[in-house]
Amino acid sequence: MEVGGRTMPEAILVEIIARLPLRIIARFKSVCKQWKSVIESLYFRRFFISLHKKSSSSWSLMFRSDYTHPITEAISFHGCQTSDLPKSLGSYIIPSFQRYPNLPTSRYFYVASSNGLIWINVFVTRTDNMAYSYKSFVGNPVLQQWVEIPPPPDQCTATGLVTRVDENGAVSGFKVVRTCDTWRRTEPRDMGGMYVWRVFVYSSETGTWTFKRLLSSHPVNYTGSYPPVNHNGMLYLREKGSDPNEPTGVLVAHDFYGPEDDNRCLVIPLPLMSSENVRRCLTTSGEDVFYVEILCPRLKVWRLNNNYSVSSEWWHLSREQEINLASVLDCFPMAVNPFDADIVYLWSQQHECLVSGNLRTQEFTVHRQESENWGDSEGCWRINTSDSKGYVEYNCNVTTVFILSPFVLQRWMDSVPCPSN
Amino acid sequence: MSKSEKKIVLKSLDNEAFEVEKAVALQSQTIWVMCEDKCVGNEIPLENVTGQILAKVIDYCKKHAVVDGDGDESSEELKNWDTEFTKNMDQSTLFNMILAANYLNIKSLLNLTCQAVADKTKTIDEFHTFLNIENNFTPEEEAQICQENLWAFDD
Repeated sequence: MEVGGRTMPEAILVEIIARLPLRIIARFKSVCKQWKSVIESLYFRRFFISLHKKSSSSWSLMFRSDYTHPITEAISFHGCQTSDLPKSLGSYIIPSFQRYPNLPTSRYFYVASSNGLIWINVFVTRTDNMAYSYKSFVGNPVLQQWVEIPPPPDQCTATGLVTRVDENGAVSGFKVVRTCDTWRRTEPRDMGGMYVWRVFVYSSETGTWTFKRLLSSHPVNYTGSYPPVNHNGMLYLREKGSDPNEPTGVLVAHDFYGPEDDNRCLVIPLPLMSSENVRRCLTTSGEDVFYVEILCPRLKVWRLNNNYSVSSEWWHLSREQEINLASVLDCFPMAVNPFDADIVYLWSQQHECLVSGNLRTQEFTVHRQESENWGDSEGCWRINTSDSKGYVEYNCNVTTVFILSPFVLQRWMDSVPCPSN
Repeated sequence: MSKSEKKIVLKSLDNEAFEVEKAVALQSQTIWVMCEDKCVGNEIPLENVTGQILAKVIDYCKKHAVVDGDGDESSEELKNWDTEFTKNMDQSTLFNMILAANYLNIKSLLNLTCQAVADKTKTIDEFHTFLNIENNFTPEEEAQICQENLWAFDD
């Protein structure tokens, strides 16, 4: 390419284009054939990710929605350097189904997310030969790509979505997990003294459902009311303790991308509650699972030890400090920033609004407005007070652990994996 | 060390000569290699860079040599200096700076100038005009690409 009579080497073009936000890069594919092939190369993809690895991509902390709740976000972030999206991730979801003319215009429900993919259920008008009144889709609403998941072989409850990521950071496959509810969910212990968690698993690699019996030393009573946390192919179900006087509870976890014949679940006790007044949330940030508890004004952040087999400690206490702010007394932890575990989001009962806090600098910001939008040097933020209030009111009893679902866009968006047929 | 050993002369494409401290010039890997190989005397001809651009490159290297030298100047200050440095350059100067940084192999200057072009260029048309790119897609192909990347064309 010529610049003022001088040739611009392709390597330099790559240097420039890779510094643009993803949205602009996608537009540049239409410039000419050479640019399109450069942008679609593996080299370019890796270079882009290496340049943007310190900045966050767009994300939203989603509420799991059901019949009574439309799709909403508690907190969202967009318009950043990496992707430059003009609106929040949640607002892409429903318009992205416009390509499917036979679907209704409303009744879309958010189930789960993993590595930039989300699982949406759409309730459709039931006809006589239909076994189910909903259709399930997994996909990327920004790219407007959806894979319709065939109906499961039997009655079962939506549970979670897990993904496999290849060595380049691309999502190469996903699995949809549903918990069987034809029998009582927890069977009596079998011969090995274990409880059974029966699941149907749909894999994008095979395009089919398979049935699995998973074994857990703790009963699994999954009813769909708590969304599980997912991370690195694992699902972590929050289960109440078997002793009603002991409200702490456990996580029952299984690696859905582990060896095929491995049907064991890990049972991870949650850090012991020091009082019945402790408020708790469970979330993921970066490469880790976090558990936050507040016994006002004391806040503790625990990180799950990823190296299960070696250590005897499940949880590492990564932060313990007092919240030095009179106005944030009486608050619930909601979540942790998906890219920075030192940024926490709280719900203040006193002010009935969200509070964001930086644990490094001890700065807390109270977001008093009903729906607050603001921009800073990083991008655009949006906070949804009224739905957060509803969520807190509905869930605030002593055994509850708040679990919002982080929908985090991949820094580089690849096509949604789908079965080859 | 004698004065002549510490100084080095850089000569531009249009025969403009710049006498600079060796430590300043050696931020360029290209010059560093030339000096290591002793294949040049104290005067180094740079056949790809005009005097106007070379002057700016030297300004940059001087600033960064000082800072790297004492290590005390805050990186914040340096960042601000970098921002100011590229702020008022037009696209043509920036592109020539990129070519110079590439030829002289000064990685940090290449990063800075590429980022500056990226920050200033947000539309395809700007690139089209500047790089004089010929669109070699058929209208159907172009429409197909836009269709596949609808999210990127939505505002």
